Amino acid sequence: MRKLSLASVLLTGVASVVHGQGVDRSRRPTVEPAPPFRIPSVVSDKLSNGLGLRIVEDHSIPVVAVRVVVGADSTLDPTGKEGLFAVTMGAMREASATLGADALAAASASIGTMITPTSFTTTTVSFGAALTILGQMLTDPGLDSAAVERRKAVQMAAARRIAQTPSSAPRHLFYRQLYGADDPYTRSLVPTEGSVRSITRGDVQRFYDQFISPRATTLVIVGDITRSAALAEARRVFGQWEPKSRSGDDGARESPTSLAPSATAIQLIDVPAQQAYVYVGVAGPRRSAEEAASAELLGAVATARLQQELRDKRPLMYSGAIGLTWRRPTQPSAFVGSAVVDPRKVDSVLISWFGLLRALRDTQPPTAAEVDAGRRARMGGLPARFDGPDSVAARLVELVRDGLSPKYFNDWTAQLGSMPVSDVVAAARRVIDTDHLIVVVSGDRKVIEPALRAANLGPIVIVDSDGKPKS
Amino acid sequence: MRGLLPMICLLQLAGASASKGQQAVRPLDFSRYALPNGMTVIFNVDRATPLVAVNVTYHVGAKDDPPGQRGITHLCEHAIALGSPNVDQPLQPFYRSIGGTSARAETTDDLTSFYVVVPPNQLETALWAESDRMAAPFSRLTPERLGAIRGVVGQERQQNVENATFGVSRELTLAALFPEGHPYHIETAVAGADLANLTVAEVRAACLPFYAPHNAVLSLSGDFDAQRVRAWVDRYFASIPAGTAVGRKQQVPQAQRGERRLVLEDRRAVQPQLHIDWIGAAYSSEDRTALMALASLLSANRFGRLSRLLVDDRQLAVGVSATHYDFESSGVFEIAVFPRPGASLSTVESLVDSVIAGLANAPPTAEELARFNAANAVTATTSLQSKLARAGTLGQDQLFAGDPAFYAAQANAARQVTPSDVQRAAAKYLTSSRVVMSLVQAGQLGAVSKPELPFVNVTPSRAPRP
Repeated sequence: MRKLSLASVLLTGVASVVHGQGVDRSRRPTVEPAPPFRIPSVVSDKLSNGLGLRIVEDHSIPVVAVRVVVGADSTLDPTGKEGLFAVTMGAMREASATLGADALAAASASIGTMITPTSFTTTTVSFGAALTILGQMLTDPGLDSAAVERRKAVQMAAARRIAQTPSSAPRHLFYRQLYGADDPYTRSLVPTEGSVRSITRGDVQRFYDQFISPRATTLVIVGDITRSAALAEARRVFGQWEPKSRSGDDGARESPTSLAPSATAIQLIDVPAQQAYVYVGVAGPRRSAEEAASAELLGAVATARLQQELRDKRPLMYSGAIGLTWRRPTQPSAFVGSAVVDPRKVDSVLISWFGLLRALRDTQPPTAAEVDAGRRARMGGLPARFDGPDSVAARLVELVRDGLSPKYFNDWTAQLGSMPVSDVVAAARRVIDTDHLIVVVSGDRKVIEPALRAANLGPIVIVDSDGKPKS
Repeated sequence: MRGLLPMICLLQLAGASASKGQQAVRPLDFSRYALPNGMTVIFNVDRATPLVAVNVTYHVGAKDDPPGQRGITHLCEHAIALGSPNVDQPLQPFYRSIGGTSARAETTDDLTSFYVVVPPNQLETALWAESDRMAAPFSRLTPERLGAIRGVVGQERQQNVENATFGVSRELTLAALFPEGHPYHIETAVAGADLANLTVAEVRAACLPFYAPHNAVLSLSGDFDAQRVRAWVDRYFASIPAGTAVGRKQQVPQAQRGERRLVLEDRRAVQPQLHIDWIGAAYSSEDRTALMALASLLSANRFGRLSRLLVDDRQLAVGVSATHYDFESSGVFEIAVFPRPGASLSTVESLVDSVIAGLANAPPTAEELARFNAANAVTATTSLQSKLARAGTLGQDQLFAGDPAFYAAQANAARQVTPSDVQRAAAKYLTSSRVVMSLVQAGQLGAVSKPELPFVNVTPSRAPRP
């Protein structure tokens, strides 16, 4: 259409101005009731060896997404061996017991699909071949020394990348303050080169034998495939899978984290940086708790106020948000916000931020209009979280991994839809604790510290990027 | 024995699917028409999920920044997102308030897009809002708001570019690859002096011609009735004046500039990198697919000639990437090597050069091209799962190639790429006119590749740009 000549565009444009003067944009369109959104129908099944199945048919595009939820994650890394889960999963994709690394890689490349032991997305015609390859990786991995060493090199490089990512140190320190340094979640955030280097082939084999088992595994298949075909393919590939050990049959259990909140203090990480990172938060409810949904809406209201205050009224940040970071349902979440700001303005940012939290809790609680807007945003966005096989598969993984009911999203929608404003007001009083805030700032100390001390927002502890106090 | 049968099946499947992977890519179903004012409208109806992606893309990007006003196109994006005569909220809170998600405005080198995903019952409201924005693009811009968005644009750049380790490398590479005055000798976001003293009138004058129907595409993907929505589009958009002609920078001939060796230091870095960049082909160029095949041939996992040599055989690197980034009217071919600790960048560079030189005598094999085509076809289909991706691709391809489904045509044309096409592209583009950048920890100039050759230290605040 761009090939229309400019002259004709201009002429027709002039004509249309005259023709179309009648439109009155001051009248906003009337909105019909929203169509009901139904969560895609999920078929649940189980193979005789205990492998769980979740299948969703979506024939809108010739694509099939497969995800595998195994009964382990990086929170199971032993102390000093952080990175073991990642190295194990990486080594599993290197080679199977019967197919060497080149043969396995050639099989993946021939169907143009990136395949790991826990995921692939491919076209319908390649689904069967891709599932066969994934099955080899998951049920019969080689785990030889070459594979382990190759993945250790990759993970050590990843550890170096994490170390040079400006956001990683403040994020890690925030969770260390919240959950404790020895908490598995905290440790899982920052594997080091040293911890990865110490991993042996024996560690990898033991981890696999202990935790990777059909009874603790769920296969998620979403896309352009019928239920019966998906089931048949799952049986073909995984039907003979037997566990190497029975200890991991039910998946790993994570001990409940105990919290010991301390008085509000600001940890300032002194690192060379152009910008400052700010994390402010407290512990939030467990995802399985009744008040989880009201705390979610509180997060939406808090984010809207934060953006209005620090972006729309004053240009103190480009992007920032406040919300809940979920862990497994039995563990406390974090009600946390973060932003990247001008280091010269950290004091102004924190004064506004603290004021915003106090207002939400005490003087200006969430209003009906704010709660409605938050509700519309959260509920209106739900269909987009189920848009296409990858998105649907991601939601199913969320449900399986966190042990949530298959009806979770339907219940969540109903709960949000009928939630009174008073519940969100109560959530603000319950969740926001300005006397016990965890505040972490990272950036150039000599730029940040003087104004921050003058603002007198609380004790300031200067630490290095490992969180060790500095003078 | 347990593994034997699956192994045979696997190999059979792999062999069988090599040809399957090269099946033709079926383009998305779409309809297209133009309003009398020149605005192109594209519909992709898919009623599987109750949502609609709305994308309005204007054919203006950072490459259109006038001299002395670098970053103004990006600033204009923020100015327009402030709201419009009848929408008294910025883009994101407005769309949040009607249940929209993924609401963003985005400026690339070539395009400026405003997009959102809305429930079907809010589609008319979204069209109303976008037409209000198009009819009076800068109606909410005041001197005070200009000051505020200038600050936000500065924050955006700080956050996304300067705050990332080696984050300025892309800008520095483009500045060195493309000569002064070339449309792509640009920076997408600039917080600097060029924007400091701009007035509202200057912003309007520079940007207004681009934000008009004749320079825009509206693309919709999702759950809607095409006939009904066409009436809405006509109602809200057809009366907007077409706009006036826009002036575009002329392409500067891409003169051979020889090899330019750069060094970028970063205090936060713990791991060096080596980047080698050449000017590549435009999005709709026939050479583009050959360069994409070349990138696959060099860096595909395990089989790429560079990956195999540097990662597996010599164990000098933990990763290698070869990528062709395309713009509307040019491109960049980049090889990036992520070395193991202690590996010499000089050795890495010599080995990269030996592999490139070897292409002349070792054309791509049938297997190498088959792997590229298989991956290309799968990506062309799987990357368009979301309505947002579909609306964006259809709009971009209309503006870049005059064909909303150009992506599919290119993926299918790639099946015809021959070994000699790839060799010819390598000889044409991977010449001695290139940028070699050593990215090292601050103060570690001993780690620079081939330090005996003259280089320019482009570390910000250390040296002038080349």
